Amino acid sequence: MKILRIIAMGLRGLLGKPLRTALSALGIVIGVASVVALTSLGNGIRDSVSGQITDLGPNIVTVSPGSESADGGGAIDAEMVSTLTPQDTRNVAALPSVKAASSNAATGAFVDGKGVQLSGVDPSYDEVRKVELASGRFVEGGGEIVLSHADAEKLFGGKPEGAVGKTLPVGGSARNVPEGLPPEQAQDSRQERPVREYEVVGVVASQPEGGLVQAASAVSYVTTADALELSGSETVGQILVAATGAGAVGEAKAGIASEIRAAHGGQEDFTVETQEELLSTFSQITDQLNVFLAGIAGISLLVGGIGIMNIMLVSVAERTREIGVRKALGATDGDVLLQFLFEAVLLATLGGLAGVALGVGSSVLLPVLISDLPAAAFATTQIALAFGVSALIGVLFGVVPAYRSARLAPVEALRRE
Amino acid sequence: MQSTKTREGTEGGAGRASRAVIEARDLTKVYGRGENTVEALAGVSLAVEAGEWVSLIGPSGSGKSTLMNLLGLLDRPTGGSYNLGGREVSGLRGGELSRARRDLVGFVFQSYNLLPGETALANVELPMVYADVGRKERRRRATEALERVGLSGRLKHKPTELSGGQMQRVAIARALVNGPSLLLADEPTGNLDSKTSEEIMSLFGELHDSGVTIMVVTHEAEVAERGDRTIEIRDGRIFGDEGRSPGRDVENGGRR
Repeated sequence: MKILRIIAMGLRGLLGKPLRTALSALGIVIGVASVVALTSLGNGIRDSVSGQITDLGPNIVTVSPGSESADGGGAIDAEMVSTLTPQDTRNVAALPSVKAASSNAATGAFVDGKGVQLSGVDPSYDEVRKVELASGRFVEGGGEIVLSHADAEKLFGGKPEGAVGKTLPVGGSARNVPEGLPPEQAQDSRQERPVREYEVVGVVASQPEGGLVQAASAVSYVTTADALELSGSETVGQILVAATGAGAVGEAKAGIASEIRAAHGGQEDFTVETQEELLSTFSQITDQLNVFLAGIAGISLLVGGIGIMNIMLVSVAERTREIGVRKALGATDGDVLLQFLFEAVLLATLGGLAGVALGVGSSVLLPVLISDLPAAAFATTQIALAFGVSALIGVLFGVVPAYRSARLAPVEALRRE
Repeated sequence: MQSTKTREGTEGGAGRASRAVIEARDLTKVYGRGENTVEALAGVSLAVEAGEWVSLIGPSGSGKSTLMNLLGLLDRPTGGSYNLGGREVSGLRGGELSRARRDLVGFVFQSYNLLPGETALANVELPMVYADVGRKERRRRATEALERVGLSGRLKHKPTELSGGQMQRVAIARALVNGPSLLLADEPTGNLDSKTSEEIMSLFGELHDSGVTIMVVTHEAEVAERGDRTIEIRDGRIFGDEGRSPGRDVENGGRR
């Protein structure tokens, strides 16, 4: 078959000119690789953001101080004076639709003279929101402290594992220690409460940096009662509730609301939010990320496509004379077209595959090298699209100019240097 | 040494039509369209018989290259008729023209025009790829052709590993490999030193002796003199057609 002979010749031509072949394929490789890498890394960031929200748990219901309708805005308001008490937590925990409930009383404290953010929680907190420990156990009673990984490093000089079993002097301040204030200053102005010895019972496992979860894992834990003693407050900042199941979330929400309302004399001075509602707040962010990612993919594809166009046009222009020679030796337009089509398809396919490999490889490698970058997520449709569009551009711009050259009279083509 | 204006001058060849390789009648070529047209060939008629060695000469811009392109089927005439190797080819276009070129004409260019990435053998095989000749047959004929031009030891060499004279030999082998009716050489020694030129012209002489019909386009008098007939083009017409070159044996040229 003549077709096979011409294809075999095209293949030999590609192999015989490895540099030109590699350079032509490189345009496609880079085009595809950049699209694949950018979209995969972008997907990873989006998934990481929404994943962190979902990681809080699907059955979680949060009770925050302040009425949602009070100012029409969000319920999360730092300045809102809380009216939630540990008793509310106990009431909520007793509801049939509730698996576990824990107060969360945030406070600053001085541990061994250093400023530390403390979360006063109930032992059941671990049931509501799993706390991964590097060693030891979670707080179960008064005078116990679970240190965050960072605090343990700070207090025990980079040897957090040795912290369990040690005792530390912990003293509170009337108010939370503002973050960033040097401990000495804070100590002078605010240390009013007596110092007590706490036993370190556990150390939280270190979390990857840069996530939303990290904020939650950066605190050290004591019991609610200890935290309230340290802060001198009687109310807690938040009640975290785990419903018995995903289907019980609605029932739990209603039960919690009526329970606390009754305890507060009918006042709606709190807000109950489910995970889903929290998620919808964040879905705006992910929507914007999605639009942003589509933009990145589009631009990468455009840039990659232009690169491919360029290199193919140059490559074919260089070969106009070759086309003239082939025609002078009896090649028909169809013969020339077939050869260039085959070469372009082969280049585009191999270049595209190499590009996918390079893109996937760098998307896997980059998050390893850059710890702030979440792991990439691969979408086959996007990879296929990047491959398809780049290959199409490669073939089109490999063949169309070749066909134009092939249709020249051989003298015309031979005249080009 | 008769010098004939041959617009009608080939009538005498009609009786020997069976031996004519080239029979061109009133070929014209006009470049451009509308008002900016240039008439490169103003009507050329000529006949070349099998086994002849014709030198085509003429100053730059005379239409010599245009005529060569038309005779070599590299370009299409604006008007006139052209019979090559017994086929009427002036009306051919596209694929038919390519196939006629492949089967009837072998080209030798001044700058060799070998494919740089391919071996001598692959370069010589190329016209046979387009003629759809099987692999073994291609290999055999290409090897033979390269032996014929004295390059049996250079089959696997790439053009960059060959001298100019050797590259031109490869090009000649390539031109011959499909058994063309006409070997058309455009300034075949233009890039070669005089010693190598002499070798190439000797090779043409051998091919001529073995019956190949040769047309050499040149502006070098020594090269033109090697042929047994010189056609001079001026202003798009045949200006002179000398049946035998000076210095050539009369008996040798007597075949016409």
